[in-house]
Amino acid sequence: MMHNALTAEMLGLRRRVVGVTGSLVATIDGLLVASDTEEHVEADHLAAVAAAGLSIARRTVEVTDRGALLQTMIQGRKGCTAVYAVGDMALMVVLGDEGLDIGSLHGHSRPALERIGSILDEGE
Amino acid sequence: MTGTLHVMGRPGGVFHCREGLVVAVRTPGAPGPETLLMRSGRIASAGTEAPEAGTRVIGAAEFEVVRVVSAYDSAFAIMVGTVDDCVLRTGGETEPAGRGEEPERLVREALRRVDALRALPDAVLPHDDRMAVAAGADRETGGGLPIRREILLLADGRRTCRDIAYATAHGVYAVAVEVSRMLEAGLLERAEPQEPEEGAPAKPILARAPEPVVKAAVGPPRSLPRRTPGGNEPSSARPERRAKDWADFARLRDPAG
Repeated sequence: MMHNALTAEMLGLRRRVVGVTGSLVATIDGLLVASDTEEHVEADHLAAVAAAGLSIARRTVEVTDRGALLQTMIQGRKGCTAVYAVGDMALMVVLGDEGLDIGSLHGHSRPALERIGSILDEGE
Repeated sequence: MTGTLHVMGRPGGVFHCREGLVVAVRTPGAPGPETLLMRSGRIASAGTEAPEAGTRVIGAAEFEVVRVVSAYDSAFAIMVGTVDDCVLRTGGETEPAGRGEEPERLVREALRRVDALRALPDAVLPHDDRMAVAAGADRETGGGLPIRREILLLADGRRTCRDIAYATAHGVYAVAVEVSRMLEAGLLERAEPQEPEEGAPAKPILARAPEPVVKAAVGPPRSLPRRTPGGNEPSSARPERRAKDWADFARLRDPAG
């Protein structure tokens, strides 16, 4: 049931936010839990890379005293990758194209992240 | 009036106005001029100062044409979607752009396009309907026109007309009209809303293992695999390959060894 609930959250985010092309949820160690990504995206690989990036971002906010880490944004020529911390134990990666409204993404992601955190907590 | 008109909704957008003229329209619902130029290969990338080798540099006149085309398409994209609220903010800086368009003309043309699309027998919702190739349609040759071939190649059940417009550097209106015609011709169909698949069983998230755990792979079947500190993969995954990779790495570090 947890897998279905996570997938439903990711499908909902893609439907609500124009420009989202996919997303995944992984453990903080980079192990894939559930994904809603396009065929050409290697979800396992992306989960591992995102976890590594989030780990560096956590260290960065620590050494710069920026408080708790919220997310990282990586922008390329054809779109962006947002990596959100889900509590201390998990993360969510959201992929978007260049038309994605970052503000809209953050606005819709926050409640989704809370629900995903609750789903993961219930699964423990 | 100089300022911005923010349209809240789906997809929503922003009209940038200067002295009564609309100088730019930005929306997540339609590709902007930079995207149209970059995706079509006419410029290297937005924000790149020096063009890459082999990339044609466009002139001001060509950019102006693309900018105007994009403004009309973006206005259509905003108006064909849902509009929840509008907020006008006067003053401030507006985007540097060309001479601008008269707002009445822009809105009139956008509404004409909305009506024209809705008048088609199988009109598509450009931001909601996800397209899939119909059973029996040939992805390679079924389309005939180049734009149809591109649409057939990209219709994977996840993409909307808006997504296809971004990927192909076409306007959303042009793609929506063509997709509607292809729906009527039986080349495309609307993908059923995706439902979560019955996949992996419920697995709790586990804390990082404090010590290398050799037996992590034989843990309870309902728990996630854990990474072992210093390892590169889940302890349950391909141990023989990992050992080989580390051996290769050691040789790289010390060729004599």
